[in-house]
Amino acid sequence: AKSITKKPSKRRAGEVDLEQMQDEAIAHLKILMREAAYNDSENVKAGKPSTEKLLLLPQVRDTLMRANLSDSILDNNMLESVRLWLEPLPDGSLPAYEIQKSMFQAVQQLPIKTIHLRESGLGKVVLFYQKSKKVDPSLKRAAEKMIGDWTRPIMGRSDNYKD
Amino acid sequence: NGRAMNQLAHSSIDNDKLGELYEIFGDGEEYDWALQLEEENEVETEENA
Repeated sequence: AKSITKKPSKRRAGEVDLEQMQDEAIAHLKILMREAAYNDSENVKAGKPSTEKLLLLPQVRDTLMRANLSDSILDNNMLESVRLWLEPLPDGSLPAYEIQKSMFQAVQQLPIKTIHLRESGLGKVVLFYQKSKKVDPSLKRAAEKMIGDWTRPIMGRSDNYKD
Repeated sequence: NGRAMNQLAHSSIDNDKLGELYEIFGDGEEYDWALQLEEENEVETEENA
């Protein structure tokens, strides 16, 4: 007998699998990103060139810029990996400009909410970009704008309150 | 005392917001070590110039 109480699935057949595959792909990419960030840091400490993030960058950029993946990206806290990639290296130097630019570009087109910032720590590193003197002026402006965009929903929550 | 209550309410709202901002942006000291290195390197560059 057909069950009439069964909730109709919101997704069509096949979509669940696709979503699961996306989640897995992103989880895998996060591991690669973490490894690359770690190896680059170790290389800098050893006085060697740090190129692992750069080598992985095309793949990371392709994933981050795909609008249909934005839910998976945010749900799986890929912003944490973005934070790791933006962090200064042990000698105080910044990651390659290509990396900074790509990460900022990706972050700006994602529908980021307060919860994603809390989980990822991304706000902390963006604050650093706003402070650092070595950051390119256009990225500094972008950092300032992001901080404003992320602060506003918190500060504006009780706009009707006036003393 | 309406005014005092008002102020109390206001400050607790601000504390909530402040707490949330801390959670997101940290205390601003997270990457101070890197900013310090930047300054040290700058001084060195000037000395070498």
